[in-house]
Amino acid sequence: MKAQPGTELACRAHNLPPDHPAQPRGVISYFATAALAEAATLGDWLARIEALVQFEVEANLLPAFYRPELCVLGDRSHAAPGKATSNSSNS
Amino acid sequence: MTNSSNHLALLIAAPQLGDEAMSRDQAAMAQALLGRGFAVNEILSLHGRLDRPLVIAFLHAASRRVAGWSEGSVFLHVSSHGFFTGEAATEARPGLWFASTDDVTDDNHLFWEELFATLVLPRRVRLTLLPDL
Repeated sequence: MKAQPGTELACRAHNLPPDHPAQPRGVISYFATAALAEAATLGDWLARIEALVQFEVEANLLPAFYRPELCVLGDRSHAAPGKATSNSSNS
Repeated sequence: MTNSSNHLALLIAAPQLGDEAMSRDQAAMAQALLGRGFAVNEILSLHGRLDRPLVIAFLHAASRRVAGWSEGSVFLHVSSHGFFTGEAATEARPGLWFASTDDVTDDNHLFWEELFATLVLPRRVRLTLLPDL
């Protein structure tokens, strides 16, 4: 997670809430592993993570304040680790 | 995808007493990477009650593993507690925190800058980092 310059420093990573069906998992790792399978690039990976988060927020599985604020520091077009399994284009 | 078939995943999980999520996160990441074509011997995992010497030794081993590569990619997933020194973002030194006490001794932490200095990669080997802490 990335703090804005000048803001108070704090650790903002969460584990999934106790009533989440996949807990105990870290929020970032949970969505990152779920989104990795079909990700082509790092930017695509992030977009898929954000889509999964949005889905779970709207489904009331994830409280909105658990939403991770993630970004790619670097080239978003770089390939995600390994090879996409399906339904995605290679960079 | 990179033109090189060289790739290596480094998974570090540093749970403290009572933490269950990190080991599950690491296992899930290993499974996801296997599904992405990584071979079992291309995933190096370090998990448990970690300290600075253990993590540095792990990073040195990874560096030796890729030392001969002309190109490739390394993926590093870190699931840990974090800490920082400094009062503002501009002067902060963040790092990994391995101890379950407030005693931040030398062996109980590793600054990110030290991690990157220890993980020596050939010039054309790309590092992708996913920190969860």
